[in-house]
Amino acid sequence: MPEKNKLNPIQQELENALSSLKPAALNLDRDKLMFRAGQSSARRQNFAWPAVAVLLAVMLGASLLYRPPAQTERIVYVPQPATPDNTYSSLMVETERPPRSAQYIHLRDKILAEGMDALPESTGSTGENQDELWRELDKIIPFNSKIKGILNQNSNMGV
Amino acid sequence: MAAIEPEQLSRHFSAYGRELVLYARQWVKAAEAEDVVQEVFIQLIKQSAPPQNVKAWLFRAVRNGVVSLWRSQQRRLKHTEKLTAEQTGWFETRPDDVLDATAAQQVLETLPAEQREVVTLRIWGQMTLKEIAEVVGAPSSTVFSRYTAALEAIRKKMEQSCPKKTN
Repeated sequence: MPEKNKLNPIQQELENALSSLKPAALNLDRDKLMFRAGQSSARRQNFAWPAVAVLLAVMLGASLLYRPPAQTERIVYVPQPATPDNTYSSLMVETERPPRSAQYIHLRDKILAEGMDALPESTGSTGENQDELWRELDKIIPFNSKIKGILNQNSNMGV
Repeated sequence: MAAIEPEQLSRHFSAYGRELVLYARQWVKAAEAEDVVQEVFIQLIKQSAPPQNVKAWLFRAVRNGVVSLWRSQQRRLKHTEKLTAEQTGWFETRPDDVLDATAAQQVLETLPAEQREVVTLRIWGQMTLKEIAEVVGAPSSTVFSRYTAALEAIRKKMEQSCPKKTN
């Protein structure tokens, strides 16, 4: 050792002489010491699992305490506002319909609203026009042929 | 799992137990020194990581424990009678010893505490100057000067009171 070299021979000799002295025997019980050491070691090792259990319990408690409110699906019945008068006509406008002449549509609406009395009287229109009108009516009124028969009968009777 | 296994603890106890108690007895009585040493070994097995230098750690831990105990004793004994002298010696008495164990103890007891501590650590603790410096918290040069001064003082006192045995 480097520090040993610094000692003079007398000091070195004294150091060697002192080294020959052996410390007194221990009264310590080795078995007792090992037992206590084992106890301490085991106590330290067993601390981990309780710590983990406590941590999990705290986390569970916190999650139960602060959980968000459950989202339930609710059906709400809202009263429908009163249908405006023009709803029907607007729906009618939106529905698909074959292109027809404005005259026909007007007549049809009138017949639907007022009945057969709304049919125009014969004003000397040509037979072609009348036939065309009847054909149009056939498309919308299934019993048109019956009406036509009644009308012809009336006209023959001079009503 | 402990950083120090029981087998290692047992080995350290066998290797340094006596020396640690001798070191502790520089401040306190034998029974108290043994208690401190026992606690230090229990602290060692509780360590989560093994110390780099187990021997230095043991001596430092014993020093901390025993100095703390010694200070509390000093406060308690301030106004009371001094403790009676111990019956048990520091060293084993063997017929083939070069030095007389009792005389050597008496000489060591007359040394200043810091010199006696360095001699104990160096000779019976088998520690290097660097390790001693770490334990006592002083520079290596200071440790060495204390050591040489202690050896010189021991030599002078031994020559006066305990002449070398002759065969």
